[in-house]
Amino acid sequence: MSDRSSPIRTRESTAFAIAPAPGLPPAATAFDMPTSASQHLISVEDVSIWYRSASQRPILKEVTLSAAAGEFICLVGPSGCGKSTLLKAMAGFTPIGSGSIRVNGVKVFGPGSDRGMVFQEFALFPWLTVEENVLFGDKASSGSKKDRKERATHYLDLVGLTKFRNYHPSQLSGGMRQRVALARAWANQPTVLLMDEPFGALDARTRQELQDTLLRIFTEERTLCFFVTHDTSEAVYLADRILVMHTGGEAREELHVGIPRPRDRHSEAVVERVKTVDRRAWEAKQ
Amino acid sequence: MNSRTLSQNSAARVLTENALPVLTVFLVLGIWYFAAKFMNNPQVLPGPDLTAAAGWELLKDGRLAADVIASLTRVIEGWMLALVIAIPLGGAMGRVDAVHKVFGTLIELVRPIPPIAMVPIAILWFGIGWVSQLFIVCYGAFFPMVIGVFDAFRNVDKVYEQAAQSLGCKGISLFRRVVVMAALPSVISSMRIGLGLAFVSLVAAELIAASTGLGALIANSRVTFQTDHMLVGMITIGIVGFALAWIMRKVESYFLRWR
Repeated sequence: MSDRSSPIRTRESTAFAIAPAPGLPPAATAFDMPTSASQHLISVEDVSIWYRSASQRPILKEVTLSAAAGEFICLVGPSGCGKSTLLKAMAGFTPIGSGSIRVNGVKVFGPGSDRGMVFQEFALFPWLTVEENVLFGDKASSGSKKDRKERATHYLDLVGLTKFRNYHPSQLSGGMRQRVALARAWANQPTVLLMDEPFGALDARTRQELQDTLLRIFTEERTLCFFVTHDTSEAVYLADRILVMHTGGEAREELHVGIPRPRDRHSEAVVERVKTVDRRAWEAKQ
Repeated sequence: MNSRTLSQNSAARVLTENALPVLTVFLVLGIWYFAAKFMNNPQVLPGPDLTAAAGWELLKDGRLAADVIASLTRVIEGWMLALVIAIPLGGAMGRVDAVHKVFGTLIELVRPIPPIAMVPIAILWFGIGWVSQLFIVCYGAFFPMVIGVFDAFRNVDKVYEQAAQSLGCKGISLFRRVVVMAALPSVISSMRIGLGLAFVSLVAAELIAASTGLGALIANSRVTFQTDHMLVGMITIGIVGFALAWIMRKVESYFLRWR
């Protein structure tokens, strides 16, 4: 494999741990989080999804991965590689063909509030105010009136929108709407937060602001995050681990970013890793 | 400089939005006036002046108000009856495929039959009177509403439901808090369209099967050669229909002020 001679690997061998060949379960590398089955918040085992029947080409092919609390994992790959499908399967929106997905050891059947979701199209409820959106979730809406008020203030504060609590989504810009969606997802205290190209519809500058907001909340709350993107620089900026997926729905390999946060988008280390991930993603297209 | 362009723009907007529509109405009135003058036969075409005089007369002795109230009552009754059936049925069709399978084709088959074509059979079944009128009005309002409500519920964006499910919302609560709310804009606009069609069907019903109401005013004045009364009836229908649509738009923007 060409990555053996990758400059990153030779210069800074702790930076990228390359998972074994595709098809094999990812063996624990030196840089994996300490992993035992009980510590995995989410584990995806041999999951395959077919379009209609098993005779057709699968959308997802025997994907196995697991993640522990406090991790930030990005799924990247060419369009049609199944990264969104994998996320939707974890969310419980897409039924899986074979294999299993477990959250806290419990098998996933359908959607649930243990798996929060942030969508590319924001999916705010336009008939509710910003605050009502944030407090929509079953856990977010629990407690006394005072608790709810404080909760809304806390999460709106995290995304910098306290002043807009009584606005309706239609009165906000795209970036602000997605901030509300982040606050809404986090206010419900999910075990794992699933984000499907959440910043894909935003302009470059807003996207960077949102990435920083996201990392700020992540640093504070340490919720396990899965983040689908086709933007490899976004993946390197955000993730602890990057899962590169392959056309045909195979999880090709896993890359550990290993750069301490806060990261500098323009630093040599970040730029080098973006190149590496790009190369892997491009290889994955073949 | 900038603000001047802005104010000029808004002045132009005020002109096009308010003055132009009024101007067109006056233009048509003018054409009508001179056409009537030229024709010089009030039996065929009374001018706007004669029509206005006749309207004033009908207004003064209370006949016009009685007709308007009779018509409006029928419209509201028929429309509400149609609503009560169309909203649950359309909603169920939009959410449950089996219900759509059962009723969809039937509705598409009956829908092209215009309300006016139902008048003879309504008279045959229900006689001339309240039941026939109610039936025709309800029939006219029902189909656009059931189709509109069906579309509204079927086209609720999946992403709202998914977002709600990921926030622990399900079952009746999901339906009430998300599906209904997401469908509401289209449901209300199909109610507005239904009301318009209820009104159109009402006139069809009254032309034949009623002794009061605006449709009856038109039909009766044809028999008595009171063309001015006929025109008063027609214009009143226009105005009342316009007012109903205006009210519905206000109701719509009140309920959907979050848009």
